[in-house]
Amino acid sequence: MQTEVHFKATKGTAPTVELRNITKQFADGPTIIDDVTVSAAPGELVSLVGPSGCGKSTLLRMLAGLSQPSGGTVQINGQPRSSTDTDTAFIFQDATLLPWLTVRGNIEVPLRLRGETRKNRTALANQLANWVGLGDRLNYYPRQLSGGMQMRVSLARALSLSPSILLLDEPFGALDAITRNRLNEDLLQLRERQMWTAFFVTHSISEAVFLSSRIIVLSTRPARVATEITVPFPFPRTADLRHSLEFQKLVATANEALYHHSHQELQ
Amino acid sequence: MIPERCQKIILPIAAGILILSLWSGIKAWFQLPAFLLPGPSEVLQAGWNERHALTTATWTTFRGAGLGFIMAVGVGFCMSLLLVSVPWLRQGLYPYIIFMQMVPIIATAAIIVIWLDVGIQSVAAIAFLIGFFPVVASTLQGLLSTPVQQVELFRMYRASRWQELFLLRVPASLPYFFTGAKIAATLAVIGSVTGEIFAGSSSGGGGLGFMIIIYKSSLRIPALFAATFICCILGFIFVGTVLYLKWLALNKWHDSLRNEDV
Repeated sequence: MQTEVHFKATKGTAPTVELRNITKQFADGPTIIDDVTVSAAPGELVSLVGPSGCGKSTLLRMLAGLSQPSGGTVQINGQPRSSTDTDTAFIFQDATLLPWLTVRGNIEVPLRLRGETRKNRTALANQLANWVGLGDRLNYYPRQLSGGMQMRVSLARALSLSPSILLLDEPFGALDAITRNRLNEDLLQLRERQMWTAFFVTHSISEAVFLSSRIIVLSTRPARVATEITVPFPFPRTADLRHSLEFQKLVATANEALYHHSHQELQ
Repeated sequence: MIPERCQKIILPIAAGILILSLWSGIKAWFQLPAFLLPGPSEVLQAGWNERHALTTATWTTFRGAGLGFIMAVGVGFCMSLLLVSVPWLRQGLYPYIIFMQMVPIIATAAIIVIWLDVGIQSVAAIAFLIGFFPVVASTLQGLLSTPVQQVELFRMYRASRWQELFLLRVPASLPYFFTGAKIAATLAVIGSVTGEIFAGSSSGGGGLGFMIIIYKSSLRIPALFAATFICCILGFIFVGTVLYLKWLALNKWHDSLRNEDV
């Protein structure tokens, strides 16, 4: 399809990522996260679901180093996460593109910050844009793109430094169902090219089932691991999976678990 | 129905004609003499008769306002970069930047003339002072209101302070900067004319402000009207230039230009 120059294959080198006994308490405030331990094996994609405001995003921000836990540690390959770790990419809820840069410019941001040469940046941006299906939109500005396309640019930008850890904070939440499904499928395809250990925060159970190998259901106030659901479907997964009975059954089970635990908290 | 584009051209022209005829009408109805209200044709005539003096004066005012404006924008922008980079300096000075915008320019002008003596240096200094604070206030606001997530993105990629400033905060602040520059452009002409009223001198051309004083004291009211009119045109040119530069810098990516009124 396209020549894959200058790109280091990270497939198979993804690390073990672990949240160990994490607690979070704001000064004088209530404990919002209470003793959460979650781990992801190398290359595993783990979803975090739970009622809104339960602290899922805070956990993700801790994995990214954007927030510090009050207790517990974030460990990568058994070592505490160091503040100089740049091997992590974070995908925000909205695309967070810089509106004055073109698609190319936006994809190149991490490379520019790292001081890549122009030649390498151009080659990488071309390749990444092709990966996310925007090879013909390199000179467009974000406002000329649909929400789905903007998210693709955000994805390409996140992948530009070949991260080994990918953190996604409800990245497709604002998109329509069809676009959302397409992006889910594309994300799994990208995973065949680059291997990451990934954490995925979402409100959509079917999205969580489709993408991940394990779903962590969190309770709220404070957040605790309520239950854990293993998703047995083998990778690579395709759109057809959604139509299978097993898939639908698992979505129903997971929905029930989520409902059960959020309901309990409300009473 | 008239197409919207035509309306945009026709309506202002119609309004202009209406105002001119109203002006002439009032003058004719009340039989006002030229020293109270000159008619449009008298103003035009006076402007033509005074064309040599007015051209020189316009050029002088243009230089004073231009110099002050460029300094206001340049120094103001650098000052904003400094203030955004040094938080304690910003916290200390920000209230005064807001406060200084409230100082009436007439008072400032009088003081500046006492300090710098009459001449273009005073006029430019007044135009500078009146434009400087709006530029700093808006640019600083722009530099500080970069979306949190974009800043987090840069921090996650270990961007240096310089990279964060010049690759993120400065481009994000451009729309705000141009808002400040537009205010400064409007005020530059007003400031320099005000300055000339205090600081103009007949030696080396006094500028439009000085001519306004001359015409007023010699009761040449049609010429006074003409000079005032030229002040407006000059201000219009300044603002137009800023809007054009803004368009060049932002039209590709910023939405504000879609439906902005001049």
